[in-house]
Amino acid sequence: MRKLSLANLAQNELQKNEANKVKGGACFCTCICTCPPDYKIDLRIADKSEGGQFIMAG
Amino acid sequence: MKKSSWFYLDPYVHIAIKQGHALVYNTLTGQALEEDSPVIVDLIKKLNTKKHLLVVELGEEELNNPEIAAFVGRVRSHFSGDLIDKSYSGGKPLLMRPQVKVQKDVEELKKGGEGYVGEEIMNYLTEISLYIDNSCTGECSSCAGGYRQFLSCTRGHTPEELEIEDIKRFLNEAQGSSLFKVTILGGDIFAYSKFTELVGYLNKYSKPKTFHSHYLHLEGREEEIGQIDRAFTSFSIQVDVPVKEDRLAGVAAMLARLGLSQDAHYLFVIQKEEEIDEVEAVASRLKLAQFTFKPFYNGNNLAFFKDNIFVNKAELLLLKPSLKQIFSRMKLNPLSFGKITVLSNRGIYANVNAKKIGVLGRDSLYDVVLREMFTGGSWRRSRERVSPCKSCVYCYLCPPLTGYEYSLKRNNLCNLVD
Repeated sequence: MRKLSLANLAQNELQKNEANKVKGGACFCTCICTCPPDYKIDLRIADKSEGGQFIMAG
Repeated sequence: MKKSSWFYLDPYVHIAIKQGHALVYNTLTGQALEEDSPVIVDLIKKLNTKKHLLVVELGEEELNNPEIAAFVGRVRSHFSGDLIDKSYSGGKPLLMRPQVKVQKDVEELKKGGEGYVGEEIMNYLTEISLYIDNSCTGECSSCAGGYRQFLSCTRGHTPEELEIEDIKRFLNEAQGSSLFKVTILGGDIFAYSKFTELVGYLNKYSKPKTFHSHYLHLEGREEEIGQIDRAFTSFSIQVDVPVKEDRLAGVAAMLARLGLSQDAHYLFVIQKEEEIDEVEAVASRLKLAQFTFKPFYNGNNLAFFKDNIFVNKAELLLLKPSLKQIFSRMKLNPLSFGKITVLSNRGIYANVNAKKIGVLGRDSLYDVVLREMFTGGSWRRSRERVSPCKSCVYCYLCPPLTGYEYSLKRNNLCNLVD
């Protein structure tokens, strides 16, 4: 992997974002659950600090 | 009796089909199959329908088709699917085909009116960057365009600075949000007329802060830096290349005296390949704990970008984007989502390359976040929305759009699509 590749730079940036989220006190986790009968999977980010309220995030 | 089998793809496999071209990507191993044959593309299309849910029946005739047999072999060798003898099952097996669905998708919520969308909208806000002033006497070559490509200081021709009361009001509005980072930039942030008052306010502000400064602006600012509360505070130090090493050494020594070496992150702005080695040598000599390269497109270094920055297939697969990452890239831009920038002219942006979404002192933070969610101009700008990426099967495996695409005036910073 070339160190300046956009793929690498973006990955580093995203990892830094994740680390900052933790530092900022917001604990994010991803909940994936199945929702029959549509067989869809919800991608949700739960903010535990707000009692498991679901929000959309990157 | 003719033998037939169930052929299935595993649910952790990402399937993309565009213009007669199909990609079967295993999100666990990072292996990908690209298929062009109409017979195979049709088979993948069929597998990917709600009706078939990743499982189709293959009869003896189809299994004897060399093209299909070879594809099945490739899928099996990648652990992306398998064949099961039909006699093992009483009925058609079912696989849960993952499909992204955002619980509070703004496009759905919009149907319920503005108030409904705005209900919990402040939870989307994650970062605020404030350009508190634009004064600087430096002559960096990356100054005019750098801030459009990455978070960078910049100067203006006519002096501007944000009102301290407007800054406080804006940040106070963010107190109940999911904000996890406030970045202070300039110009020269130490030249801001209310710097001491701002630091006093930020010291009490509960969210993590980053002070972004050009390294030459830090010289002789020991007293001002000393006023900053170290708790939840970091420093981004921008360094243009060629580096004035003795002066950078002085800054690094000053930060060490203040006990801030571990909180300092050096951002080296480079414009050509030779500068990579130069930066690594300087960072090694000065024992800089954390440093990052920030490639700058100056309009004349396309070859440097093509050779070093443009992505290729091998690198995309090496990073093994997960199903979760792919899903989020379908719906939004994970690099810019939740970020707000306020320039020293008071303009508020979700992306400094896009249209202004508000004015500091006039619009509330809530209003600008709502506006951005409604228009989706930046936060939800995925590669699916732009050409030629939307025609490429790799568009969700690619890194999200950055400031570089705007500066280079092309969305495909890759060697995959011409």
